[in-house]
Amino acid sequence: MRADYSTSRFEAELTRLYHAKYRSLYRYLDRVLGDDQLASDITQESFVRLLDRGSLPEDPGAWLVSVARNLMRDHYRRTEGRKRLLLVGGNDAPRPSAAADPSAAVDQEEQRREVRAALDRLGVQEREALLLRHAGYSYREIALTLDLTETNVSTILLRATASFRKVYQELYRDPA
Amino acid sequence: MTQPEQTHPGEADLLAAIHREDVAGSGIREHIAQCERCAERTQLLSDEDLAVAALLRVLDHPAPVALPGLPLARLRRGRLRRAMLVAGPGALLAIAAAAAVLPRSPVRQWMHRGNAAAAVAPSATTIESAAPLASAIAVVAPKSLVVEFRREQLSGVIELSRSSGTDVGFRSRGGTTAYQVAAGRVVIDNQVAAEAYLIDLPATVQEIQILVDHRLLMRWPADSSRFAVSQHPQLARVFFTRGAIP
Repeated sequence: MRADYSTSRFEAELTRLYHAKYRSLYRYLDRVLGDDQLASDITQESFVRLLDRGSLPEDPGAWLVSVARNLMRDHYRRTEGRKRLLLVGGNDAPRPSAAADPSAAVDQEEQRREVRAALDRLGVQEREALLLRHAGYSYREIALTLDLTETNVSTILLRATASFRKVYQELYRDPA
Repeated sequence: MTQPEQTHPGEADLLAAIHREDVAGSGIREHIAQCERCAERTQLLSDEDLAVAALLRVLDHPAPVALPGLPLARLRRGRLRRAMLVAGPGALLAIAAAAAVLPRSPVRQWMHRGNAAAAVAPSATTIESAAPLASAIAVVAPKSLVVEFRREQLSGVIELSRSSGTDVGFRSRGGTTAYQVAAGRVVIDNQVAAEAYLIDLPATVQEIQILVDHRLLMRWPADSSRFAVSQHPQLARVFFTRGAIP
């Protein structure tokens, strides 16, 4: 009886976590992978792994990102020889054609390519920290995921923000 | 009043303050509020941060309108299978034998019902959910779906959202809920009333009826104008009320 109660409580907590964290994880993965279907699959699989674990870790948000990053690595290891993460001209899955104007769609695609190219110029830690932060993760979650201290996270984010803007402007826009 | 240079926080601390992170201590925000120079630096950093956020949004695919269901049911089936493999066929035989001799067991009733009764096939296969308590399940989407709440409930809400998946997802927030699934019908045993029941409907589901303790609460699409959420065309919200649709 106690086991049923615990299971039910764990599942209730997991369901709450799922609603709180699904979008952040999906957003991060979608931006890294450029493939919404794969991002959705890995997000889902990460929660399944947590469900299979049977109990919540100390920091479930960071735990989920770490699992998702491992799944992402496994996926790319399996499909070695295919496109590399954040490759210039990357592996963006086609988007539903929201733009009625074809030239606007081309502009959007061009800008996506530019943003990916600028991200690709950052160091791995800077890029990861930036993507996690802008997907909604806290400094603590980023620190746990990237094995840093929270103070390091703020320094890295500052550097990443400045570098990203600078690279993007140098590559594609006249400096103001 | 000018403050000494060394008392001003570094830019990393200012960025942390913009992000509402307290890694550098709670005094940073107070300092920014009082120091014109740091307020200006913070504003510049905030503009940079917003510009980066806008650039990163360019990469986004449209976010899913409704979350896909958490596949609790799938996991339970897997666990049940594993448990059955571990228990072995001997245990199953023992259970069957015990069920056959217990006076009111379904197996014994079935054995005594005779051939005539056995010839009357049930119109739908009823599968009790693998676990006694469930907070979410996903079922294969029928064209027409009946959702029946077993017990009367006068508070709470049912949210129906269109999803891009292939299964109908059921989740509940709060309460204690068990599910029973049959062809085209899901019975929700709301043992303790939940505050919200979330149902994700793929496009293949064209009709839905919701019953609460046998009274009809809602028909879709017939009552769609009453329940659709105007700002979110993919969403319908049905509140539990005493009144039934005639």
